[in-house]
Amino acid sequence: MDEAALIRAAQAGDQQAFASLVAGYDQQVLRLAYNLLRSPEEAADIYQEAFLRVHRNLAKFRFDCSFHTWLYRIVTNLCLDALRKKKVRKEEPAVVETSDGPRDRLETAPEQRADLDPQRKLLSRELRERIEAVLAGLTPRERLVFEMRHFEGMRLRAIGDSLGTTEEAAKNCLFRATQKMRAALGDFL
Amino acid sequence: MNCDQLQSRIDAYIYGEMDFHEEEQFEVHASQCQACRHQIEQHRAMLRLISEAEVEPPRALLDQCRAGLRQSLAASSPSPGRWRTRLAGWLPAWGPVARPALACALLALAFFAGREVEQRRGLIPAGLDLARVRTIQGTGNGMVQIVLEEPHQRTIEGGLNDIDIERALLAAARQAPDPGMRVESVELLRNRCNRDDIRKAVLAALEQDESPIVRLRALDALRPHARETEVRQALSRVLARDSSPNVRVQAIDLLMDRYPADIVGTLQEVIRREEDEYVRTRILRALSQVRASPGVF
Ligand SMILES: [Zn+2]
Repeated sequence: MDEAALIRAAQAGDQQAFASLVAGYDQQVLRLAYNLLRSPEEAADIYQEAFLRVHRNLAKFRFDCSFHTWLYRIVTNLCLDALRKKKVRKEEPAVVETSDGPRDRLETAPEQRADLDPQRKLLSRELRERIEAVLAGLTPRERLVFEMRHFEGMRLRAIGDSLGTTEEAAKNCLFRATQKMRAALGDFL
Repeated sequence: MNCDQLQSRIDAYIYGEMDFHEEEQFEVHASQCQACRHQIEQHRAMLRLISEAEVEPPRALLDQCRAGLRQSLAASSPSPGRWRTRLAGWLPAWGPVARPALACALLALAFFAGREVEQRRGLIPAGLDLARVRTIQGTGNGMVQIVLEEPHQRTIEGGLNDIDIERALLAAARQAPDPGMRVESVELLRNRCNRDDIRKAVLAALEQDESPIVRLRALDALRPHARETEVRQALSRVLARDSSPNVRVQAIDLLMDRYPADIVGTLQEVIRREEDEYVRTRILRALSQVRASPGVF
């Protein structure tokens, strides 16, 4: 079955068609969310929310854009929201109340999940921290556009479409992102 | 093309996003300009470096997500009885890896199907039939919008303090058939968990909702109340019983956030039976943070 037929079947309530449709995209969606948020829980949240919304709204899909674009409009919105929330949380005061009196938030925060990612052990700790810092320093949009272009290999036009903006705007956003990275990683190059 | 123009287009060049003519100009300049060639090389090196920080999600996470989605969709089906047969249709498309997870989902479904029917019979708030609620949504300015189908669409809007809105949110958090609607309701109730009845509703969602997303939201909403005994007891039960490793991990984090020493016993108890590798790691780490031994297991 081609994709359009699959979508029509899923719209008519065929659950297996819906499952096949999901299976065609869900790995990509999960990888994007996982890399953006670096947290299995948050990535799983986005996955669920995205495909539940797809399921709920599929009847409204009118084939006036590709399914990929339509899906990514949902996914990019969820990712941007999650990244914004993460940024807000990061900006919370650095000192927290604990049972043994006030402590630095960093000490009480659960450890970063570096142990989940064996590949990253190849990088020196300093470099890894620097990369994490530069990625965290990007705006949610810059982060998302960079991730979609560099890692997911999406065309800038498709990225623009899913963000509801132009190819040119996506290109500028990408440019700002890579400029920041160059500036931050200059001495490692 | 001059040096500045070239350098502002390096991304487009490297990612192959230039048209033929622009690419031509780019390459002509680069071939004649040592400084720009150096810039291009630096840019490539930077991108390679960043690429090494890319991570692949663990395969188990994908399986969990798929199982969770199936479970949520099954739970939101208006006729749960028929899902058993329809669910079988999910298997071939998602392959054998998902089978054990599906078995769990089916068990959970069988369990919840009975419970749900019972709940839906009672507790519909006066004047509002949940079966007709299409969406519940916050509008961002402290207002909530509820769209009803009856059979013509009707929209009601009101503040979070509005008694009808509040009733609708409480009812929807507990028994809306659509997990998305339950998520939205919990989310809208989250800032009011200092009120007893609302906290109870959110606790019920945390312990009883069949969708892990709803449970995660409820858990998050209870974060500011993580010191309270009632909440800590619920979290301990979640840690011991919840079927989703994600939810269990979040419960550990939240319990560890306050009075970590209190939960040593629970952690020692839970780790004896915990089968998920990641959750085990987190429990061991939590125990070592409070300098307690994992106990005999
Ligand atoms: Zn030049």
